[in-house]
Amino acid sequence: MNGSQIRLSHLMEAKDSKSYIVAADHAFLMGPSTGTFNLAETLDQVLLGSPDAILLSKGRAKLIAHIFHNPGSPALIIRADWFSGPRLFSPHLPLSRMDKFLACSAEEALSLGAEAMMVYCLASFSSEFDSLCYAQAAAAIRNCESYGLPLIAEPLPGNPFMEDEDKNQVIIESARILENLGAAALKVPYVNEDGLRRLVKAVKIPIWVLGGDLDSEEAVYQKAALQMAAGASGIVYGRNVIQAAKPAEVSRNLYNIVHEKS
Amino acid sequence: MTGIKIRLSRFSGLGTKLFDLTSGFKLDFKPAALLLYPHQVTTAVADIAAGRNRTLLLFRLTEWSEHQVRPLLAPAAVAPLGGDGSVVDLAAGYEDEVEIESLRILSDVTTQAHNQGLPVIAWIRLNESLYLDKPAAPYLEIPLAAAEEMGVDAVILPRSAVEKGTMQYRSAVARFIAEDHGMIVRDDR
Repeated sequence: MNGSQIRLSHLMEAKDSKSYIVAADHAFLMGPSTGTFNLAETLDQVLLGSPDAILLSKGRAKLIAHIFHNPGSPALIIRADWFSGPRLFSPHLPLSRMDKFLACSAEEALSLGAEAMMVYCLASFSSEFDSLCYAQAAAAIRNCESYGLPLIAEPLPGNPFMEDEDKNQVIIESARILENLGAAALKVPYVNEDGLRRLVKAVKIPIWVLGGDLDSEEAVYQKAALQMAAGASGIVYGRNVIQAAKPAEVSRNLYNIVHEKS
Repeated sequence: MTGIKIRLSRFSGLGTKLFDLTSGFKLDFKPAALLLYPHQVTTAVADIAAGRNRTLLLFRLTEWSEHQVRPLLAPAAVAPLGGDGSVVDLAAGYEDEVEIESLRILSDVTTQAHNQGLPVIAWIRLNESLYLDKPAAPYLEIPLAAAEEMGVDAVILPRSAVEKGTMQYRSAVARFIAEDHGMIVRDDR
């Protein structure tokens, strides 16, 4: 077992190897919104639900480092890349060009106390952008490997308007490439149950499903249960937790669903 | 982290005044910190930068002109100049290329400056034409959050934007307001 595998295990509950992770890196890419106007306050609530890990940018991780200081605190995952995608449809300061760059190295992530680093991989947007994304993912994986830090890759269909079956195909193909490049785990969007089941069979590394757009509380719980039943190793939910009316309650309920506790 | 914290603490306190010597205006008081170009380290500057209650020296790492951000000084050059920190411009609301390149520069120099224990202040250059007739807060919050998430230690905001609307976003780093005539005043309220 190497350092990367040991650190990856810190993102999971030891008893079941499942992960309930909260994403709170939204302001980094799209600007602040509900739940991130005062993120420290929001996360104080979220932590009451005992998430296994929190995803943050390097700057935010530095500013609220105290939440990782106690025994039993969640693990820290650093969002290592910035990309313009979330700003393409922004009502304020919209960007019209797809671009992406690595904003954090494995050394910086380790020095912040991170147990893992995460990068996006926009697949099938354009051949040039595909190349850029895979090259950055490969560079981040090599950088992380030399420090025993797991790199989690996030394959996303570059075109959000494509048919569901095409999205599933893009995610599966990209997941296979990223696994072969050395990604330690994957954070993936949920298209449908069939696609997720096929993806789980297609790769051997852990699959964590992202939460996506804001939904009703009940729908969120149903979706999380379905994703876990379909073979996911965990969930990485953001807006549905940090923008919830009662973040502590939602966080606790999602923890119970992932770890099958009543 | 320790070096950054120590240097940041030197210009803490509401109302602390910095002076932008690169603005072309004349300095007629002793500020807590001076923002300057390397060639402006004259004997007079060295005199007020000496001693326990000295004026701190903050060096510009980028140049902001004609709506462009250009690299000016490597972060590694700040310590040999006797600097206590650095200032980087962050463009917001201009052309995509300008804004994205500006974010990339901010990310790179923040990492490099922090490796030297030097704090980084992001000077947010928000396009004023965007908020002439509406609240500036939703526009200002985006680069402000981006700068914080990139890891900067303090920000300088334009007075015109701060005055036009209340921000919902609670900034977690030291905040300065760029006034007229080269004056920059700490205001974390």
